[in-house]
Amino acid sequence: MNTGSFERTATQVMLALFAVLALAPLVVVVLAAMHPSGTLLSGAGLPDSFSLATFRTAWDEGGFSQLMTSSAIVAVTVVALTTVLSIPAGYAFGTMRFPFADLLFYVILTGIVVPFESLIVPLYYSFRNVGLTDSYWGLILPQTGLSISFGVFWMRAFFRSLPPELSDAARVDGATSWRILWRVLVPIGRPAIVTMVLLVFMWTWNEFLLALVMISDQTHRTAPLGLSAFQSRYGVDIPGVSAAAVFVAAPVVILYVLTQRQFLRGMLAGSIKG
Amino acid sequence: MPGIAFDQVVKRFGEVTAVRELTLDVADGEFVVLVGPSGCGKTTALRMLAGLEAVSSGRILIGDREVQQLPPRQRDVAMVFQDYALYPQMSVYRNLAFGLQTRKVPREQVRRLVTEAAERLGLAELLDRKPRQLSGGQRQRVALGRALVRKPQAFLMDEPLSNLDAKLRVDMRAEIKALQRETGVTTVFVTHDQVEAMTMGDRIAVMRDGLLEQEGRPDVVYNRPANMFVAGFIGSPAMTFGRVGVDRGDGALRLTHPALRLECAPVAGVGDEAIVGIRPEHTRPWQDGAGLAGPFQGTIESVEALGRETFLGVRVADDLRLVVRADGASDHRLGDRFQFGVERGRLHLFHSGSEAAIAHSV
Repeated sequence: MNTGSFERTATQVMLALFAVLALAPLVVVVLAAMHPSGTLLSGAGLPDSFSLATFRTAWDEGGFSQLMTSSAIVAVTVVALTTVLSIPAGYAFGTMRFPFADLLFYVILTGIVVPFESLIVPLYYSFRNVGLTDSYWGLILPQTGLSISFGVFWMRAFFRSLPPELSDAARVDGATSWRILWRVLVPIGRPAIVTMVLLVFMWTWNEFLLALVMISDQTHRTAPLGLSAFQSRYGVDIPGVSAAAVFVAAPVVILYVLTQRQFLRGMLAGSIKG
Repeated sequence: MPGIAFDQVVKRFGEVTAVRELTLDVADGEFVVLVGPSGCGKTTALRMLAGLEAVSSGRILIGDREVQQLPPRQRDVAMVFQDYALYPQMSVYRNLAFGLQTRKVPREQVRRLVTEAAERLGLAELLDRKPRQLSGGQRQRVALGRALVRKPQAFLMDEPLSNLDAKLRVDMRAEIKALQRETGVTTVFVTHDQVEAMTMGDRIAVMRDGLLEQEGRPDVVYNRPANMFVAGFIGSPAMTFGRVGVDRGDGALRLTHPALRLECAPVAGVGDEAIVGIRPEHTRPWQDGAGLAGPFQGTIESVEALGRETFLGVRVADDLRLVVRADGASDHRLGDRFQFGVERGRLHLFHSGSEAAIAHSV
């Protein structure tokens, strides 16, 4: 497609503008965290000297070692369970005919449709009655349940987008449904699976409301909850709070950077006929 | 090696019956082609044979085993798909090996069988490549190799040549036929291309709307079609038809139309009206003394020059259009008046109501 130089320039200017708008808050926060702890800041500004001391102080004073560990335990477990359960379930819903398939799928979809805020109070009382509050399972189980709604929906759509001849060929070659799924279709589905993993990780890592309701002890407190508590205690220390925010944001950003090619492929799959 | 049998096989999709009481035998080592227009049920029949579609009623036998209840992996058939269906994340080697590995064939034996098949099909240099790095013809060979390597009881091929260009299609037809002759594996081949059917099949089975219209040797189906559909579907260009009145007298049958009269030998079972069919190759521009029936007149409506021959579409009357074959190039143009003749003893007669064949070569 031929595009004139004006159109190309205009496109690049617009993209640069949106990139600046998206990145500016992150850059401001990182720069703020590079200032000495306790510095009074109003707006963006470069520090006199770049220092990681504020990060060390915030890490120690905020107890982020424990917070990040808790978040990692919860997020990794939720992602693992969601992935392991959503892939075969999505495969079944996407490629097989069985009784009540449509009804079951709509039941699973309620996890996406029903607002989580409407479930949190009854969930708290149910979990308290069985001793699951103030525990990792109190965070893992509900988030896994909700993530599976998305995961099954996502993987079903992916498996439906594949040419049925692939499965037919494997079936004639002697493969069972289980072998077809794991040996033929999952390798093809890496971009879609990576996208699901990244999104579920991001949502789980950033989950605040559930942790706020379920967790009152420090041992099981997650990073977003810890950040909120840190901000309450050290609110005037902008560099310190900024450093803490960087800690909480970093894992998701790092994971995205490592998987962005697969993520984009997964998001765009189906938009262009391959 | 076992043959294949369809015994009164029916397939329904809800209210729609895709295959109606199909009964067809394929002998050991035979190459049978299922041919028909889109939607005739040929692919559905093949998929039922492979075990990819359930049978609504009837039986399917491979050898002496009833297989309609068995999953594909227990039928020991190999299938080549129209779009090849190669596993995109696997190399050519792994594509060829997949079926063997699934059946827990020892690694060394897998290597030997894959190498043999790759050398036979000219794929030895491509074993490390992925399907996206192959041309259409190469992918076709890998799909064939995947079937060949398993040494199955039957090859099932679902329009495997449809996505190839014309020249490659001709080459691959010969390749597939040679492969089948070499291996002696019973083969069922589905195509909508009647030229493929005629050139490849030991026998062809013509289907329409789920029904088997006729099956037999290609020359028999071509020269003695069972009805107008088969007559019009097999042959390129197709047979042309005209409704005629029938008079009997003087030991001959007269076929009459306002625009022409033909005489032929007496035939039993024909009423006062019939449909006459003529293949283009049995007509030609009029020549005195050539022993043709005619001359007949018409206006040229179309000219298809193919180099070696020219096919002229001739409107004899508003309800009678024929295709006449001329050798080499033709000087005739659209709208020209044209005289032609018909070879004697080459007419086909069909019942005007049921369209069933009454007589051939009259």
